[in-house]
This record gives sequence, structure tokens and C-alpha cells, in this order.
Amino acid sequence: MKIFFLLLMTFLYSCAKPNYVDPANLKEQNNSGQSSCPIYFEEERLCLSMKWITFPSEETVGTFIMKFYAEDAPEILVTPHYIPFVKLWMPSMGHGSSPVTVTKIAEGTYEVSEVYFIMLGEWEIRYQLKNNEDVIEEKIQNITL
Amino acid sequence: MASQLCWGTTLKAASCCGAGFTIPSIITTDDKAQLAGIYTYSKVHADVLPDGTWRERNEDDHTQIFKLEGAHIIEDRWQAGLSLAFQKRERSGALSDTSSGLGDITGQIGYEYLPDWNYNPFRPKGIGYLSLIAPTGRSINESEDGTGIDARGRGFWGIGLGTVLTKSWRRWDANANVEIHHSFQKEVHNDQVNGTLKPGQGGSLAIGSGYNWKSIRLGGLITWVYEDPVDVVGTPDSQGQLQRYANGSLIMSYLFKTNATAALSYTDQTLFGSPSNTALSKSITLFFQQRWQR
Repeated sequence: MKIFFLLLMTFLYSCAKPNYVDPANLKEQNNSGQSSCPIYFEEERLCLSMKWITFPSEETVGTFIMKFYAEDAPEILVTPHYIPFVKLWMPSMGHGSSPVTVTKIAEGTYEVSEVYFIMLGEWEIRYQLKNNEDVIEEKIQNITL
Repeated sequence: MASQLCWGTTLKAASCCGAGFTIPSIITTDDKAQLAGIYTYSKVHADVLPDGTWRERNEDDHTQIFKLEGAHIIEDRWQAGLSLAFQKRERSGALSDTSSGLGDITGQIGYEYLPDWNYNPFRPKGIGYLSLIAPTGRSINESEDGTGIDARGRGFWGIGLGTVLTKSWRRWDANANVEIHHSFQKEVHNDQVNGTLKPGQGGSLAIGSGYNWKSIRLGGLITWVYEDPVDVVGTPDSQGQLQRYANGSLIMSYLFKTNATAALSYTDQTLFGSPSNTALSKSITLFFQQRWQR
């Protein structure tokens, strides 16, 4: 009988304790923030802000707008000398996601579409300035789905 | 009879990333050879983050695995085995897709270091094994379109060392399997990664028990699985997180007079342990094994 209770306690203690979080509640946390220069590229001395147009979900591909501007003149949008590129990365598992599409829509303004995270969890949006295949500078924004 | 019905040491991997480190077929009976065909249908139920919070999956993400496992005695107490898997994965949602192909291949050599010649009431039968995993299934880091739908393996060469212990008392039986393994680092150059993937060690512990009545066995098995983080050195530079989950299985098996066994099992990864950094699945497995006597 003692052995039975010992085994029972072991199995009960080992039961999983699900702690579900609804991803819909995380949307507002995943913008780039209210700072005047939320992401700063030293190489070109440019700030970057991003704002979701469509937040991605399991059923929906996402889109966001990213804007580059000078640190001391936020109202003036500036097109970077190097090519902006965005990469999605899941650091905990060491893999990426499907490639996004970056389209210039105005001076210093880019639409990033086809944003899809292949599983729920903690991701990084890696903003890169590239010269052909070389990454000149990279900044990371954490995002939780 | 119990040891002939005592199936269930095959590990189920986290469903995000194809097959994991599996223990191939081990002959735990007095037979000369065995061959098994295994079909598994699994569906992802939730993702668990490294901080332990869970996210329920709404989209359909299911995998079908057809596996062939064989083992043969090569000399008295020595045996060798091989496991081949063919996997088909389908996912709905914004980027719905289907992919199929060969999974990882696992081979092993086993040695019966604890024979059960005198039917000792306490000492179990013990078989140690050395296993080798070949990354014939594409890993999630090598996915062609980045979606991971075509990931059917861990993607690393690996070696493992483990032991299976079995014991039966009249109608009851118990089994255990413990193994540790090391996965080797790998160079990857594609759109996702340009550098070295550095996995580490992993291990698993399985404990099961069953009740036998005539030709039928009802059993349960819990398997705890751990994997070291996978770090990326290169572009991008990235620190991984450890992966942990547990499989809880209920197994019903039937022993035919022709020295064959059929089994049906249900495995749930949401019930036990303290999962971390993994996708959790629920699966159903159909198993048929034929054995040949010495």
C-alpha cells in the first residue's frame, strides 16, 4: 500500500499544469513602442519605427509599415543608403519562418507584407540594412505570439 | 507472454520538428527476429514557450508517420536493428501546405547483459544498446521555404546509449527504458542560417506497466524527454533554449497464436511533466509486429 501511494504521489506531482495565454491580448505589446527613436541604426544615424496594419495570426498573414527618419528630425522620412530587409527568427528553437516581402511605398517608408510566424511563441523581428548579401547592421525587436 | 506484448518504448518527438531521437526495435523476447509496421496520426494541440506559458493551436497541423522497424539476433546475446520512417505533414491556416518524405533513419546494436535464465523473481531482463541516428529527414533549419512543413527530422547525426529493462510477475509486467544521446554540430548555409548549428546532449526515461489477461494486454507508459538548446553561431547568432516534454500513453495489445502482436495506443503530450519550448501533440498509433522464433 505504501508503494502504491508513493507511486500515486509521483504521478500526480508530474502532471502537466497548462498555463494558457490568449495571443490576442498580446497585440499592443508588439508594436515598436512610443519612444521618439525606438530602433536606432548607428551606421546611417537613422531611427526606425514600425506599426502593424494587420497583426498576424494562425489564419491571417500580417503586414506592418516601417519608417526611417533622422534622429533629430522625426518629421522628415529618409530612405536608407543600404537596402532594408526583415527576417523573422525564433531564437528558442533556432529557426526562422517564411520569408517576408519588403516594398518601398514612399520616401523612407516600407510596407512589410507576408509576415507569418510558423508557430506560436517568442519571436524576433530582425531589421537589417544589407549591401547585397552582407548585413551591414541589424537591430532586433522581440515579439510574443 | 507479457514481454511479447510489452511494446511501447518508441519515443514520440515534438511535432514541430519532425521525428526526434527514437529508440528502434529491440528484441526483448527469446525470439530470433522481429519486424514491425507502425502507423501514427498525431495532431498538434498547443505550443509551450520557454517561460512555461501555453498557446492553444486553432489551425489544423497533423502528421502521419509510417514506420518500419526490424531487429535480428546476430550472435547469442547480440542483436541489431533498424528503423525507417516515412512522414506526411499537413497544415491549414494562412500558409496551408502539405509535405511528405523520408524521416531520420535510426540503427542500433544491442546486448542482453541481464539474461533471465533462472526466472529470478526480482532481477529484470536487461538489454543495453548503442544507437546511431542518421539525419535523412530534413531539419526545420533546412526547410526550403522556411515554413518548416518539410521538416521531417532533427537534422543532426547522433549517437545514443541506453538500456531497456523488462520484468513480469504472473499477469503484471513492467518495463523501463533510459537513454542518453549526443547530437553533433552541423554547418548550414541557406536563406535561414549561414553558420553552425550546435545541439548538445539529450535523454529520456520511460516507465511503463501492464496487465495481461489471456491474449490481451492493457498498459500505460510515461516517457520524459529532454534536449539541450540548439545554438546558432554565424548569421544569425542565436542562443537556443532547452526543450522538455513528456508522453503519456495508453496501450492495448493482442497476441496472436502466430507469434504476432497487434496494438493500438493513444499518446498525449499535454498530460505529464513540465513541458518547455515545444509543440505538444495528441496521437493514435496502430502497431503490428511479427516475430520469428530461434
